Amino acid sequence: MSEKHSTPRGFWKGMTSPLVLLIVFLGLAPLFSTHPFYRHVLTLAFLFAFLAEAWNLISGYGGLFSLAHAAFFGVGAYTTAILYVDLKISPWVGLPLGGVLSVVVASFIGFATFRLRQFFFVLSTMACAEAIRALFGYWRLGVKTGLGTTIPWNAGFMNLTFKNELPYTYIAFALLIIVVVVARFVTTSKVGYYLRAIKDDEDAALSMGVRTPRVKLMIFGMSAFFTAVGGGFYAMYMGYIEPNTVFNIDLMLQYILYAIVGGMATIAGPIIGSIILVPLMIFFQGFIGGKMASLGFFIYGIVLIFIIIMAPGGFMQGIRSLSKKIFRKARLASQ
Amino acid sequence: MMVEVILQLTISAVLTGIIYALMAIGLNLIFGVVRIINFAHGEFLMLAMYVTYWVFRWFGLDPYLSILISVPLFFFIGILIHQGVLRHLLDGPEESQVIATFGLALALRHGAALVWSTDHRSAKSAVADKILNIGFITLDYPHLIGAILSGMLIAALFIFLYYTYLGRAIRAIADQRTAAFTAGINVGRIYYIAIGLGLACVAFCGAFIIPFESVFPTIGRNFTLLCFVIVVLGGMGNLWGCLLGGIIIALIEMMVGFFLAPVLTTFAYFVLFLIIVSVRPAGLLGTKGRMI
Repeated sequence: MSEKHSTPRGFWKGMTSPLVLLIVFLGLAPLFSTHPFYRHVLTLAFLFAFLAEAWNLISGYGGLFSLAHAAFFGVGAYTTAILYVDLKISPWVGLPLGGVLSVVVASFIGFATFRLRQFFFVLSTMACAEAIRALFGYWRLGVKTGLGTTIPWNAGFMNLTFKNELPYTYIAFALLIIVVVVARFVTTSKVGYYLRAIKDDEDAALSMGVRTPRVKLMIFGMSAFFTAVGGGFYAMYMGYIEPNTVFNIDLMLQYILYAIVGGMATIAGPIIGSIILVPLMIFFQGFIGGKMASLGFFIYGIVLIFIIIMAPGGFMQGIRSLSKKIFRKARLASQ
Repeated sequence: MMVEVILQLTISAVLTGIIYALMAIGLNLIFGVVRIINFAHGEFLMLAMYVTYWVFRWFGLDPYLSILISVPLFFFIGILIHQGVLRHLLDGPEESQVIATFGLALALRHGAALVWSTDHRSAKSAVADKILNIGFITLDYPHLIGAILSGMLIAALFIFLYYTYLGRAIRAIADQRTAAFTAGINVGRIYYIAIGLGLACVAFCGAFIIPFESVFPTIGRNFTLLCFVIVVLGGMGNLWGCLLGGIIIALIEMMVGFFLAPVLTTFAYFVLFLIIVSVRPAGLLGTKGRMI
């Protein structure tokens, strides 16, 4: 947690850092094996890293623990799916449109909840998410195709539907790159300073002239936009959605967990968390499966408790303290 | 006809609301005294319902009698949970409490699914099938007994909190932690008792609810949210607020479920929650800064 208070460096500085190496490595990773399942795991890992990174923007850097992201995800997924299925509009239009729509939703939620203290904020965002889920469930009940929406399979770039796995993997990777660059840009900019100031002490930041509602709303909106894009991609990738899956809080909890385990308020944290935990999750859900499918979530719950009690900084904190130790030893050895 | 329906719904809602209130009071105790935001509250209710169910299955004990086993058990579980998890979160930021208790909820929910599968299970009390007719009002015994017992327990809890040394110590800590500490109250020990009591309330509710609602692993989250809504609606740390909040929420649930659609009940009470939180964050009966 020590890093979060340190001053952010310039945008271009440290571009040869381990983070960049990690991303380059991940970019090459889909080529290591041509097995579709391997690439499927990577696609999901990238997608969840993308979502975790988006959530981390407001909740890690901004310290606003939001549970409304389930709603943004669902709004994005449904906008893309409905536009594509009912109106035959390309998902490439649907993704950003879903993003914009969820920014609108986010600003409503923001207006309602930003004045609230931490605990009330968490609860209210959850209430918003659940309320929107209920509303969608009610709305979709009347649709003649049943509760869920199936996306017709019609391969083609404009339809964001492909015959094989690789394009999906690289689109997810591209999304991840975009959010990493944006996160890097935001956190090294003035707004990033404001956001940290708000996280440390909102009243102090306000009295120093930071327009706290505006900054919070801006980052919240940004986070919502990316989450909705992720939701849209998820809908196209999975081919079937229904209110209880895309608005599910457990789905959101997954990427929140990846961000926490990896390390909140760091850029590499959510990526590392996803890369490690997504394959584990798929293993638990897919391989063990059936009756034991709950085992993954059970272990997740235990991990969450342990992380918070033992190492609240997550994986990144461990890496940092380890590298510090190694550096100190190296320096002592050279003296 | 309309009047009769509304009267019927209102009476049913009041009965359910009183049971909800007891559940919410458990959450309120933990939040007010220990200042821990317990997102696993509903999961503990789920667990209590399972305990009641299994006691019923194994020993054939009536759900209302199983409280003799489940309540002490849950008091003890509360102490264990505080020792193992919550104790470490006391001075941490609120977000870490949220994350950890969320983790606890996740582990309990999926642990239950793992051990007991996702089947719906229900335990019938000997009096469960009977129905009481008063004029045109129809009451079922499970709701009636649950509400009466809950009401008695709430009254007992009130007496305990206001007229015994321990109860006063609990309220003192809720009011002013530091002052209570300097006055010589063993704050650390009271925390254990408060959490134990909070979960004991949940254990009672589990026994009262299972005769009319079957248990399955994911039932908890709805109840967690329900409890939070009730607590916030009535006012943090206010016993009577919980009672009022419980009845209002149950009324909304009944009315919206009957006149609009059952799917929309969640929507309705979350909208109410958001309105309350933005208009009067202290709740209907809450006074600012006062807990329990």
